[in-house]
Amino acid sequence: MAIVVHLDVMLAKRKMQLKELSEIVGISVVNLSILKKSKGKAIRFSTLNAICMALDCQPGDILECVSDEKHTQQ
Amino acid sequence: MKHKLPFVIGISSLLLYKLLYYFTGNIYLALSVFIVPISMLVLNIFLRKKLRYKSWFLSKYNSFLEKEISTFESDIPKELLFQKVLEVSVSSSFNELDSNVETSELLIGTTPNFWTWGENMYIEIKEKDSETSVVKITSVTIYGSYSWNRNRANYQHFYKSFQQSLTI
Repeated sequence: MAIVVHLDVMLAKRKMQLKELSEIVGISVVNLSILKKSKGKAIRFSTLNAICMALDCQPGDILECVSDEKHTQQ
Repeated sequence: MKHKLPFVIGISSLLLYKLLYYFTGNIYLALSVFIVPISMLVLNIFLRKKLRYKSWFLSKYNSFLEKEISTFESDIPKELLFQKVLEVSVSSSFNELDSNVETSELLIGTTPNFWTWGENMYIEIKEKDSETSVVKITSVTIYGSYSWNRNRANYQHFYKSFQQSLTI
């Protein structure tokens, strides 16, 4: 199983740029880009909370647990 | 002793200084023995801040400096990884000295203190395949053929900071 981050989907839904989100949540664009590509090692609750607040969504809208096969296909 | 040549030259210089002073009685003439090592130190301090002098510090013929090469792999794309490494360098105790975005090279260094003249770390990021990037880090002393494990400690500190920064 793998955790996939759908930050790009939520950003598109909210018509928000990554830079804009970065300014709101106080996390660098580089770190958000790494998170967006699901390349981070872990995510803090404080980060998740800030992103959810900024995008007005639930953690489940951003994170999804998928099978390895599906993850490889993506 | 890893490199014997600088040690032999150091001892020889001291002996030569003593002999010159003993036979001539001229302190200035005797002290001139140390012009070469002191000039080398001054030169290295001036050259350390630029990436273009990388070959001088990393040359295999420069046995007066200790170098240690370490590599690690990351699944972050090269361009993004370069920005990330830059960010880690700034946030950790290293000073960013120079960088080249085109070649994905970065030069960071430690501050000189009572124990050391400082060390440089040359970071090079290369693409291994579409999914993996390789980070090659060469830690080198500014002056001295033995780093007293500081080269290793610098790499470990940097690597630890990098790994910690991946918790976002």
